[in-house]
Amino acid sequence: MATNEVMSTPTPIAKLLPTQNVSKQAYGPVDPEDEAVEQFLTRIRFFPTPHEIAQKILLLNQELGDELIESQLAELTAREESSDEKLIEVSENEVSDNWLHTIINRVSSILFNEEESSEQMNASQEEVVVLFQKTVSEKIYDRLSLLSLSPHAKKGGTFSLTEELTKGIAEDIGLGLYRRKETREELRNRAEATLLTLATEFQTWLLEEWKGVYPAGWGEIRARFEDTTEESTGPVVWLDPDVKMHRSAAAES
Amino acid sequence: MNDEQKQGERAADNPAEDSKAEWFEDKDFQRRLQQIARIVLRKMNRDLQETEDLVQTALLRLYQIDAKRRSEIKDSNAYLYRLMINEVLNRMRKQRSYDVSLDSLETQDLVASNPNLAENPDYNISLLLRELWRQFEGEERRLFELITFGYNSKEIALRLEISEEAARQRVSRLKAKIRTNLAGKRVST
Repeated sequence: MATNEVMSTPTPIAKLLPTQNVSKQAYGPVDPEDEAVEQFLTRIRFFPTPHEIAQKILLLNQELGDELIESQLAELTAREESSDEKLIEVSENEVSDNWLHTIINRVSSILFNEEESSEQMNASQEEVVVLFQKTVSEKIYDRLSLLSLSPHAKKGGTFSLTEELTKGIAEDIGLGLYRRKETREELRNRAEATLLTLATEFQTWLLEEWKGVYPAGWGEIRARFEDTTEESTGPVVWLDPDVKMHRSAAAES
Repeated sequence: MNDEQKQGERAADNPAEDSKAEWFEDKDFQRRLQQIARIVLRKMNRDLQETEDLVQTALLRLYQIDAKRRSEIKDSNAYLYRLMINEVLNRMRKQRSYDVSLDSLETQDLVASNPNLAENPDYNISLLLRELWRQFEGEERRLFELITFGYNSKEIALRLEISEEAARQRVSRLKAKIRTNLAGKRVST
């Protein structure tokens, strides 16, 4: 698949993102007097999703979407062959607007000024990845916030960091389709590996940057170790930093 | 009459101002004040980095004492000691009522539950971040969250469905509050 096609077609992820151009300069020019504030804001930033992971998730999202469309098309063709239904009638009823939009975009990019649109797409693609990095971070933050409200969290229960940052977050960041039984094994494996890398990065950030305790707006994100004895009085999500264990198990299998 | 002449006349009219200025410029006096602040803070199990803030506040209070009252102070060390203790107690009271009203984690509990925390180089950052979350509510808190995700003003404007200019103004106001919080604190960023 051509890389610059990825951002040119509407996908569930693209729907999450604003379409306007995004300035690469954060918060405008830095006044020397405000430097300490800027440094502080950089230091306290919630888990910054690595660029490479955001890019992989977007690509996977596209591939998973393509695979779904292909399987739907195959199903429709099979139905058409086995009945008197016309394909066009079925399409109108059963295929989403997204699919039609995708086809229209692809055809128009081929027909009209392909070279220029390709350059434009490259520029906007980078912007989308940068913005998507922040969106993934926000989704993780929101998920952990929701977990903190669960009865399990309120009883002081611990969540598996790996489970929450892989299967738990997949749907929120547009990778829910990887768990369909029809998904190709190779694609599923890549999605699982990408999510596990995301979980690894998150765990490293939490343990190394914040020594296992990040004060969030809704409460705290805390890593719980075997020897952790302290309890908290406010809303807290206790996470078992178990990524290493899961990585070993994945490598063995 | 120029400014220097005016100042000269004021000093001549008010010798107490002169002696006050001398007192505050005396390096030994300032060192003594710092030492006492450290002793008090250590005894009261407080963060040593509050010292500078406390010394500043104490100096301001001392500056308000008139010459007559100052001459009545027989044991200046004991006086400074008492002044520092009162200042720490005031701060603790303010901190406690603030924490309770916001129903959040208390710094003291946090330190008590994790003795290694005070040795953590990021301790100040964590404390300051907690303080900010406590201060920000509603829209401000949401705005601060968006900033912690790394969104810039343009992206914040889209997220909050407001104009870019409005977003920039809100971000600017929030940063001014953060700057106030950062002032006087030695935070390693």
